[in-house]
Amino acid sequence: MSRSTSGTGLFLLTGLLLAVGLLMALAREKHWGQPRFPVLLRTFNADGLRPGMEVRLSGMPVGRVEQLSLQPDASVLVRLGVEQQHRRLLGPGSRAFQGQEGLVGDHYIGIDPRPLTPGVAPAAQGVLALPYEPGLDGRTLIAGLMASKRQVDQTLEQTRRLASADVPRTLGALRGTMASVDRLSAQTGQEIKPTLGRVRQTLGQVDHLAATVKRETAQSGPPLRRTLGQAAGAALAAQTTAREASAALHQVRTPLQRTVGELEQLSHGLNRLLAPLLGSGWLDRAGEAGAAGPRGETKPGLAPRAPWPSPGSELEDPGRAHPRMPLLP
Amino acid sequence: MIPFLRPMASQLWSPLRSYLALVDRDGQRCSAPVLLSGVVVGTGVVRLLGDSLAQTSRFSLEVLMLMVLQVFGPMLVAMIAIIRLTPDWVQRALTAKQQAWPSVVLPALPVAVGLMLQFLVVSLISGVAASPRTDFAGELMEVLSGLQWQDLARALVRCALFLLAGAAWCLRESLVGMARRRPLADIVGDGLLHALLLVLLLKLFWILAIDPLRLGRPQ
Repeated sequence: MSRSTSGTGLFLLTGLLLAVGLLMALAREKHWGQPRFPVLLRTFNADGLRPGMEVRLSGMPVGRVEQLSLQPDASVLVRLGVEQQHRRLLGPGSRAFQGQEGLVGDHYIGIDPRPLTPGVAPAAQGVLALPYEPGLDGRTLIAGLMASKRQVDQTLEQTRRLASADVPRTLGALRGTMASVDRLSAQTGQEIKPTLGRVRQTLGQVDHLAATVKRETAQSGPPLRRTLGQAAGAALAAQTTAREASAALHQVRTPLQRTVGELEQLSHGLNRLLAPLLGSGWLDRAGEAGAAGPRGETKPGLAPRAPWPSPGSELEDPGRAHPRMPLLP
Repeated sequence: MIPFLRPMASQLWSPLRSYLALVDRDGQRCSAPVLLSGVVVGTGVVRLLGDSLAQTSRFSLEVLMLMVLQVFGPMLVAMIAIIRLTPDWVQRALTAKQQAWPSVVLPALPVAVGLMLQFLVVSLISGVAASPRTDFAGELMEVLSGLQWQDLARALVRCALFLLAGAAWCLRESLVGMARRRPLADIVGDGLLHALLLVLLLKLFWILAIDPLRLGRPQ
């Protein structure tokens, strides 16, 4: 190949394309040109923190650690740059913590999102300060794991002792219970056969009875229905008759009361007339003779005498032989 | 174009065109070995870490980027360029004598930057292709997301300085050798060797004094 040949521009073109492509890829991956807002963290333990560290919100990269500075009170002020478009997702309740991908992966700073409610505008130019929770110290973690292991060992030892003492006893009791259950089930099996036979027989009789009742009901239903119809008619007729009797009684009540009143006056007059005769005793002898008639009738105005004297009975007062008749309603 | 600017433009364009042609020619002369080195380095590092040392593909690619940008990338590219261009530099010294400085030293800067970019991109693409993950584009974007522009700029500057120093030293050796009427083969051999030693010494000086190597994630 001749060393004096001039170039074709391929190297320059390739270099230019590579530089532009690399810059564009870097700009895309690094989010160059996107505005960021500062977030401040303060901690007394900056282990694992370094500039350029990734900041993640809900697991997604949203910014970088920009600066670490030691303060006069020995605290470390960490300044984060978070993309402005995620500003609404960080509220006063957000919390920053140090996270790690897996057990040996990269460290990052995670932020818990606390979205602002709609209508609440984020502070325009203010610096957001968040509480920070440092990552777990490996030595502390191992010490905690060792303490937990000791406790687990003690628990396992106690469990072993308890199991060695109680488990055989419990198994024996369980075995006895299972034997009792076996016996009980065998006995139940024996007794259940005749019981089931009887139950089956009873059910058959009940079926037969039900069929009979059904048949009888089918036979006696129509006559019963007729009888009930007739009874309803009779009741209706009786009701009509009672209504008519009531009307008739209402019509005859006034003349009947008048007649009774006249009979009463007549009775009083007769009493007054007979009173002197009763006092002379003449009427008593004539009455006794008349009262012992062949048909056993009593004369008007005398009370009927019982064929034998009842205990405590006595001769009725002549004045009470004709009691006043009650007025009809 | 404004008429009175035309002569000025033609006066500027002529040397610029010569300069760009020189850069392009030197770059093309070195591109092939640089690209091949990038493929070998990218595939080798990822395979070595992933298969033999059982590391994750992400970790392997981060180590690859660290090695390319900070450990041996600029030095390797500068050395390849010195090996390929030393005969040209001696030839220009023979032709132009003392006027050969601009045609040797100035093109070294853009040539080093272009070659370093080629080496970086090819090695990263080869490493991603050699990793067991099937998501080529996603993996490449993840690798680029771990790339810091400061590291990239530092690597480009370092490579340019290495090649510039090597070219200057080689040209000086050539001029001195021609003045002493030494054989051309001796001039080329000594110039090449001394330029490579100079690059190694500069690398050591850079590591110890200017930018100590950080074994970890690039910051």
